Amino acid sequence: MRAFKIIVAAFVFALLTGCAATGPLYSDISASIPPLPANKGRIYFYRSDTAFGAAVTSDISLNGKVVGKSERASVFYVDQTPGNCVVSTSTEVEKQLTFTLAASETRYVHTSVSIGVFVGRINAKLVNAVDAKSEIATLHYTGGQSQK
Amino acid sequence: MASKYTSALVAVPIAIIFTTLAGCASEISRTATQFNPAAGTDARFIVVTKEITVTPSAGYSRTLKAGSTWKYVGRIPEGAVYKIQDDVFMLEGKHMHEAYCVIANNELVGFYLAVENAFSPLSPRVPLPLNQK
Repeated sequence: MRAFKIIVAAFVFALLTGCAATGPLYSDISASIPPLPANKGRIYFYRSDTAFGAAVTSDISLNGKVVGKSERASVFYVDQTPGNCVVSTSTEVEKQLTFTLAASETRYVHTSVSIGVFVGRINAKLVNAVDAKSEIATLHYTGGQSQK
Repeated sequence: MASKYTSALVAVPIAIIFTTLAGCASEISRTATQFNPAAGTDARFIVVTKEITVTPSAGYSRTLKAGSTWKYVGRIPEGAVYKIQDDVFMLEGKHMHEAYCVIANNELVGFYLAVENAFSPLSPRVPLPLNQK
């Protein structure tokens, strides 16, 4: 029974904690981010600095291509050709977010962990610019794999 | 003592699985539609004057905030299509979808999913307190 307690405690600890992303604070490098090309839209992906589910991570795919990773306290962006966007994250189940992107438009996608059967699920949702900008400043810029 | 733990070993996973599965939503109900975009010069806006909460079929409830501004972006056979301004609006079922309001005769009749080019009906229709801007 002692072993059972230890296993449960370890499982809960692992689920609840994890390392935050590394990299410079976004607020420190934001001035060096290049302007958005006129024929592109920009999508920021970020995840809050919250302990719950911090160990749960997932690749983030945009229209079928991996562009970065959802991890605690991280932010990155990709410049994307305008049009339909399908963002996917996958842990024990795949979750999708669909939205449109116009030229010269910037969208913000927030990822978060919710309870799952085994390892949790990573959900993505759109956030308005005001709310997103206030949170992004305190996160770590991890860089994305821009769509070519 | 052992049986107490054995029961817990069985009960806890069952409770977790039940809770999780019970919380699973199905796909947003939708049908294919035909979107005709507004002319570039057409700049009509509406403002929702009172908060409205609706529950689309097979999805979670959504709230149209009081004071939210929506721009006319086109038309589908089911009604006029308005996109929220300076904010985001999504439908949530199994997945999340950016959605636009579809209005006919001052009633919210459903939502247009731009990426899916589909209409998600609202039943019953909801009278929408709004002002033209």
